[in-house]
Amino acid sequence: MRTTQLAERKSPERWLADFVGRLRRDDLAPATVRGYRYDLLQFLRWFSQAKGSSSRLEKLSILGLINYRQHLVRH
Amino acid sequence: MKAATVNRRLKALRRFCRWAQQNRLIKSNVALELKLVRTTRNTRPMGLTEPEVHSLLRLAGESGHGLATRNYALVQLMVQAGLRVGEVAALRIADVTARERSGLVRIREGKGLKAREVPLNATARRALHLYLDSRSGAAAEEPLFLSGRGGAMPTRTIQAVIAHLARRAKIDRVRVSAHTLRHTFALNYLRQSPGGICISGTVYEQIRDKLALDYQDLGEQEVKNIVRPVRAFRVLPQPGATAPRNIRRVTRKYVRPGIFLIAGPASIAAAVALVQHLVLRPASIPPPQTPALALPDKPSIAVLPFVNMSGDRDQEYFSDGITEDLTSDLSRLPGLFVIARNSAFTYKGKAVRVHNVSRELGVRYVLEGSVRKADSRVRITAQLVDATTDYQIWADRYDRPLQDIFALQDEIVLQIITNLKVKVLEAELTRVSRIPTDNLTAYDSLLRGEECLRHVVYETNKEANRRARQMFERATVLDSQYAPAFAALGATYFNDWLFQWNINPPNRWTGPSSWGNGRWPWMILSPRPIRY
Repeated sequence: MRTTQLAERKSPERWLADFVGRLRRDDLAPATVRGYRYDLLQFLRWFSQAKGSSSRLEKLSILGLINYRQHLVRH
Repeated sequence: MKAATVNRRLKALRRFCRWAQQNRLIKSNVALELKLVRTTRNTRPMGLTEPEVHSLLRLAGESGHGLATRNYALVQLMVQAGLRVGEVAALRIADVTARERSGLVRIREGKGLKAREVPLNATARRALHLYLDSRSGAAAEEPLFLSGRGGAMPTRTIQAVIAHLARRAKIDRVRVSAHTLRHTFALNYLRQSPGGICISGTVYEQIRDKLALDYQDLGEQEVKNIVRPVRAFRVLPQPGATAPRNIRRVTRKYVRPGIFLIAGPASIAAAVALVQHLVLRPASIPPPQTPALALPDKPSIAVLPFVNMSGDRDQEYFSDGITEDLTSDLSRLPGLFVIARNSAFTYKGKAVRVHNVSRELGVRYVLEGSVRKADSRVRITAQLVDATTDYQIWADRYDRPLQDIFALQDEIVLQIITNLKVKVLEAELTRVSRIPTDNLTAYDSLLRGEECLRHVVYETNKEANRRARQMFERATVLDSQYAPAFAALGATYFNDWLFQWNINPPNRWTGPSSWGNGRWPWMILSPRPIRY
């Protein structure tokens, strides 16, 4: 499947760089872009720890996001 | 982690998921249904009190490494003009226009890419002048505030400087960041000139049912930089207040916390935006005066530079030395709040009314004086003025032979301090014992009641006695610890008996229910006789 192939080919760092590039092209303020980048880095760190080797983006589900939210609330 | 931080992280994730789906990294946008954490916002905006601001300013003015004027100007600019930290960091020398009677800073790129011009009051202009004097050779396009290394002062450094000053000032009541100074500015504006805030019809529609304020319709107004006339409303924070002048008289002496409880961040933002941006200026709306700083709770004093009357500029050091020593010695007195030397020295060489000094620096007492030296003698005069009333409290003259100049200076300083300590405390005691409540409406009710009471005595007026009782009851409800009001209330019952208007006074208080909640002050000691 095309989605899975794309996700597998790129590392999380690459997605992040692409996403940040998009934000810059959207003319967001530098501080806002920095904030988004930092927030996502934190998420990716948690995601890779929680999911271990299967930390592929296409595995992301609403349950994963809810878990992340609860993790943040508790810490 | 704070709810706001959690939500910020989740919002970033939402945006990311939307993008990831658009780029087919994920099949569906899984974050669409992710709920944010619910928050109950603390709607009370936090700002610094006057004593806190002044200790920040004092410490800023005492900064080492030649940074005193820079740090002082930095704090003044943020407190007096309410700039954002990023805006301050981006300022260049050319952006500041500070003339004798007016001034402004130009913000080239504010939040949301908005350019604007912010007016500067006299205090901010003086602080900037003082700082810019030290940068006289600098080019117009150079950054306004330089870091110790010489480059532009970065946002982080400004934040660190403010945080450092706040730590040294031992302010732990609120967390002090650079943005706290912006809040302080807005709160101060609300506090000082509630009549000066105008909002547009659109804002009015949004907030009329949310903020319990009174609004006065000013009709259509021509507004700077806006083509069509704008419907404007004046905000009257005190319910029922119509004349801003009266509010100012009251708020000059007392902080009215009620205003802040009502005014949430929305109106703070409105105040900042409106003060800085939407300057309404048709003739029908008087321009807001420079807000008078609220007076601190403890006795406060500014030592103005002693005037050198020797006719010899070389003797300037002597008069300045006297002033400096007085300032530093006074600041050691517990319970006395002393204005920073830098603030006071901005008045050097200028003929100013002490009343204006009090307004601008937020002090009750002003010490001023002069120094004359001739041959081998020196004559020093000093006078202490209650600047809010312009009354001279104390004055003295010291005439001494000029032998050891420093010993003489010490002697004079000691004498002045000793006198001042007593005089300031005496004046404070009189003031405090006159108004032993911090609820100004209660005090006002007491005064009205006492006025009625005089009619009772001189005219045997039953109706006046009833009115007086109403006023005293109101005062006791507003402040259940207000001894003079209870004493006066008792006097109205005594009148009933004395003039035989009611020979059956209640054997039990039938006052408002708040008296019965266990806080009924059976034993209140009144420090003051009733004026009767």
